[in-house]
Order: sequence, then structure tokens, then C-alpha cells
Amino acid sequence: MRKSKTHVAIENRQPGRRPPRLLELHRDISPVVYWSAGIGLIALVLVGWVVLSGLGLVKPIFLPSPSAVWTEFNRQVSEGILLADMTASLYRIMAGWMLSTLIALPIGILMGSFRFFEGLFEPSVDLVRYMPAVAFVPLSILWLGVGDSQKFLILFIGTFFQEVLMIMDNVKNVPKELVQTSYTLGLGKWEVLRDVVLPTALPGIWDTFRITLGWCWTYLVVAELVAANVGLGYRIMRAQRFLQTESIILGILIIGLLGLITDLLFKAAARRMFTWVERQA
Amino acid sequence: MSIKVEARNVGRVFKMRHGQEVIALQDFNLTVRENEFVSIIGPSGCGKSSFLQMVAGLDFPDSGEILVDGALVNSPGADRGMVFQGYTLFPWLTVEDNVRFGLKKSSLPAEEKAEIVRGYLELVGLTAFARVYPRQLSGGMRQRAAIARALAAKPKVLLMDEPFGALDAQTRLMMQALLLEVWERERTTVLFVTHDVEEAIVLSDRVYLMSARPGKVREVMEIDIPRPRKFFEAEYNPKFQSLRKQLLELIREEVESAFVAGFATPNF
Repeated sequence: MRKSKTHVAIENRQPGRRPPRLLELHRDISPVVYWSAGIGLIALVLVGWVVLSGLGLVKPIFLPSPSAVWTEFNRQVSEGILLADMTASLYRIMAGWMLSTLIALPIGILMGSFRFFEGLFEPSVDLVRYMPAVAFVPLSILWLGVGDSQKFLILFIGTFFQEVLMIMDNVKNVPKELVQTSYTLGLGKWEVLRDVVLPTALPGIWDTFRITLGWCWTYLVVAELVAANVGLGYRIMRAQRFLQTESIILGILIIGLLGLITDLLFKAAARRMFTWVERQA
Repeated sequence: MSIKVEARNVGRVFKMRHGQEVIALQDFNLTVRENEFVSIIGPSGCGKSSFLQMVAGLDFPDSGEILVDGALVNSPGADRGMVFQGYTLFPWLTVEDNVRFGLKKSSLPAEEKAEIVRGYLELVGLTAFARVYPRQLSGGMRQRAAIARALAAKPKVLLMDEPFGALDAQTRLMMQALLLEVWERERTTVLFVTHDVEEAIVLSDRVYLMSARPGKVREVMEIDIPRPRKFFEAEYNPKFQSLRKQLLELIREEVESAFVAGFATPNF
């Protein structure tokens, strides 16, 4: 008897195993594939960049070659410009973000815990949060002058109104039954807030910190748009005036890299601090 | 025996979004004496959980009154511990620290607290898991730890709101057997809400059967099976069998009428 084609296929198959496919909904893939895909894409973009500029397909004024950017990097390092810019920008971002966080944290906690505070603050926060931070630049200069505090204010406006709502949500996400259980164990409402709601919400709040700090990096150029003489954002704005494209690209890369580093630091700290967090499998 | 919980003509009406009113409880009466295990059983949506919330002081009746130890309930307190159906262990605390959390309000010296924590962990069989975080525990273990935490606080009344409802059938049996054993040793006054007929009979001294909405007491059954009871032998006991038959017939009527009426009003 001749075997049909399907018969053969079934016999040759390993028992109980179907060859894994690359694309399956929510299915885990090997870490090698996972990481090489991500790194591969970055490599591809770099190669594309080298090819485009190397073949002279694009004028250097639109897209400078990687080596031109590298030269610019070395120049800024040796002249101490890069370090001074990074220090100034890091300081502004930290100060602006801290300012936002120090105010958003208590208000967000109150909004997430008490309907009264939610009703009190949410309409105003909602109104302001869609206003573009960049539009506040002229006003901020009028109000605060051209010093660092004006930069803090721009970073604050860009961050605070989102951050406070995110912290509110982090607090609201604490299961109601945890709160009720705490009451039946004899705790008063402020004790429940301090000893149960806050520790439960903390991993989420920490994640909000990480995300909002990332936004601060994206607002840097806006903050250093005018009236600055040092800073990564200022360097980009200055390079625009002289059409120093390689300096612009260098600045963008440095900001992206520093943002990525702070993000990774926050993630690593979370993994150490919140070992108890239940992750969905 | 002194009366621990007394509900007199308790009524509770929930206002729904479109102005409809749902009568959850109406003229509900119940008594729990000291060291009694009392169950409330009824179709879902009959208001049994709402009643437990009101005994805990987490919600309040619209009419009638609830007394615990002769005093009107007007706020939650450590004298009425509660075990919920959902998992309520504090995720950032180990099992041991969760149980110790129940002693937060006590002025006992630390060594004595540690002794109590150890005792209750042993009682629920979690000694080996004392230093483990809740995320590493199975559902049954989490509920055991939650029971240990509630008992450690030495409540006058322990309120249990379908504590095994989220567990699989096998685990539920083991938990019922464990609770029976623990209760017969501790004799804490318990008010227990369930929709599981066998669970109610095996554990309780008295069962209140509730009618479908509006929730009223349909029947009160004394469970005169002598203690200590043997959990896995209960089903061969003729008294258990006849009680189960009676209760199942009554509850079926209620569930059927709830089912017919249920589509008109949202569940909560």
C-alpha cells in the first residue's frame, strides 16, 4: 500500500512537537532572537547612514557622515564642551524633575485617595496638561528671567501635569479589598494610607518617576531654547544657527543615550527594591 | 451564651445609575452567639456579602440596626476581622509579616507577638513558608495565611466572605477540612457567607438561608451534628444527608426565582 503524503509528514514529525514559529501571539521566543532583532535594527540604521553619506547620496549639510559626528564628539570632549553641557543639562533636568515630583507626589496621592481632592484638582490639571510647554517660554522668561529657574519652570510645566495624574492612577490601582482588610485589622484611614496604600502603590509610582524623567529629557531642548549659554539643548540650538549638522546629530544622540541610561538605572533599582512584585506570567 | 452579632430588621437599598433602586436586604434578622459558627447561604446577588460588609462597618444599613457585643456598628474595627474571597495579603510583606500585621494594634511585647505569629502559622500549616512573599504562594496558601492573619488579631467575630470561592474544587475541600479543624480548636465566633451547601452544613452550628432579592431570611436551620466533626466522613452521616437534601431543595427554589428575576436588575 502506498503511503499518502500526509502520512509521511506525520511519521517524520517528532512526537508531540510542532516546529516553533517566529510570530505567535504572546508566545515567548528565544532571547538570542529577541536581542539580535533589536540590535540588528540599530546596526541596519547605522549601515544605512554610512552608505547614504559615504556614497555621497545626501549632502553633508543634510546628513553628515558618522565620522564627521565622531570628529565633532572628539572636539567637544577635548575642549571640555561636552562635559560642561552634560553637567548643566543634567542639573537642570534633575532640579526640574525633582520640583515636579515633590509637588506631584503629595497631590497625586491625595487625588488618588480622596474623591474631594480629585474633584478639586482634576479639572485644572486637565486644562493645563494639553497646553504646550514650549508656548510658556516667553512667559517664563518674563516671570523668572533668563537664569536656571526659568529652565526648571519649563521642565516643570512639561512634566508636572501628567505626572500628578499618573500618580493618582497608581494610588487608585491599589485593590479596594486591601484597604478594607486593613480597616478590619483596626487601622485608621491615615494609617491605611501610610502603611498599606503607599507601599502597594510604590512600584507603580516608581515607574511613573522613570517615565516622567524620560519626558524631562525630551523637554530639554525646549527648556534651553533661549537664554542659555551652556547645555546639550543649547548646543543644538546654536548649531542650528551655524548649520553645524554634525553637532546637532551628536547632541540628539547624547540626549537619547543619557535618557536611556537614566531609564535603565531606574529599572535596575526597581528590580532590587520591589522583589515582591507579582508579575503576570 | 452571650450574643455577639445581632441584626434587627436590616434593610439596604442600592441606587443604580439610572435612578433604579435595588433592594438588597429587607427586614433581615440574624443572631450569632459567642463561639458559634453561623453561615449565611443564598443565591448570588441576595445581599449576603452586603450584610457582611455592614457587620464589618464598611457599609451601613438604610434601616434597622446591627449590634456587635451590644454596641451599634458605626465604623470598622479590629474586633471584626474579615477574610475576603479575593487575595488580600499585603504583597510587599512576607507571610510571617502579614500575620504580624494583624497584631499591629496590640501592645504585646515583640517576643510574645512572634510566638503568636508562629503559633498561627503552624495552625494553618505554613511554618515552612514564613519567609516567603505572597506572589510565591498558591491560592489556597494565600487564603490560609489570610485566615492566620485574621485569627492572630483575636477578633470577637471573624467574618468570612466566600473565602474559598476562588479556589479549585480539590483545594476548596482541603481548606474546608482545615477550617473545620482550626475552628474546633479556636472556637472563634464566625459569621460565614457562602453559596456552597455542603460547606455551610459541615462547618456551621446554624445556617441562614436567604431568599433571592430582596434578601430576607427564608429558613434558619440548626445543624445538630455533634462536634468534633470528621470532615471527610460527614457526607456518610444520615443527618448531614437529610439536611443537605432539605437545604438543596430550598436553595434551588430561590436560585430559580433569582434566575428568572435576575435579568431585570444588574448584579453587584
